[in-house]
Amino acid sequence: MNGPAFFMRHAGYRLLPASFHSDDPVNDADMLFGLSLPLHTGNTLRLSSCWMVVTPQWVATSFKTLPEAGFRHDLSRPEAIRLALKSGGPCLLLALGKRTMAARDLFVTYDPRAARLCSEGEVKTFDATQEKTWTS
Amino acid sequence: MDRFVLRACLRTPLIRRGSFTLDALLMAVLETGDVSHLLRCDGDLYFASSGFAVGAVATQKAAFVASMRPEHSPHWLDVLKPNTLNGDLRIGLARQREAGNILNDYSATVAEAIEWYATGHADAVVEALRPVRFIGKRRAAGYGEVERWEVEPGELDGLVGFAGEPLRPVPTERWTEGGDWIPVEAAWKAPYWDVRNRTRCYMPQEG
Repeated sequence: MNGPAFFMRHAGYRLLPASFHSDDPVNDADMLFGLSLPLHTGNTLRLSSCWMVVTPQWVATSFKTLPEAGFRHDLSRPEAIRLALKSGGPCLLLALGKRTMAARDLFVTYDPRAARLCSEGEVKTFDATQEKTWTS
Repeated sequence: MDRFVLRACLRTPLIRRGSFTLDALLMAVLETGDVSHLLRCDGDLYFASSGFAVGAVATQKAAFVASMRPEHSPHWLDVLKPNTLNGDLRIGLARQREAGNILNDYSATVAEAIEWYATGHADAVVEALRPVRFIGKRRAAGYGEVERWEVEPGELDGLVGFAGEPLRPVPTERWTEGGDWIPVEAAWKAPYWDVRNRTRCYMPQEG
């Protein structure tokens, strides 16, 4: 499974209105990143200026999503990343700035030795097992 | 089809992006999406390795500045015009600030040669590549100049190395060699730029 398919299956389709769903997760992901989404504050905002950790079991984010999305807001970013990488399963680590993200920027992390932090137009690969906090 | 080693002896440093597989190089040179008449291909997976640097002595930074002008593409003007006030198509100050000098950083490898391992028709492959004088990125700036192409019989099939390691991106479900290799998401078949061709792969540490 590629990054856009993983992202849309576990997080994106909970945010993208059903009328925009197609059979192609790549197009759907690009569509989602260009849409204004409703926040729990009552405002709307493009999916930007936030972080998101997506796993098959849970999604944690700083984006103020509606409660219906079922995302976790109780974790800090380092905690969420560490929890996802320690789980041993695949995950997606997103650090979104103000620019619009694209589907091609989404890469799944399958192994903490090659963790991939995805931003707009840039993917940083690092060995999380070499981090000081890995064994703590 | 036989196993062979293809070598591009370099005169100048080479800038590589991605896996730089031999099938991708041939497709670019021949301007086609299918080179199965030159290389062995099973189920879209070519028996052609990534390019490996031989005699690499250093890597160096190569930075280029692109001066971006804040102009509309001409073919967009008719689309934009109905949405403007009084047909004013000038770009605003905020958008103009996004243009200007854009710095692009690359990493160039200083090496004697680049080698590929593959299974296919060696003579036909080298004949197809013989006219190619430059490879990799920033060729017009002089990077990746090829001094000569060499080919010789090889032992590797283009997928698996001597230590049982992957020589190119191979989907993990098609990898039968075992080993503790790190799975990453990568494109494993052409077109390599297409996100839809990315999946969980084993791939070489270098390249």
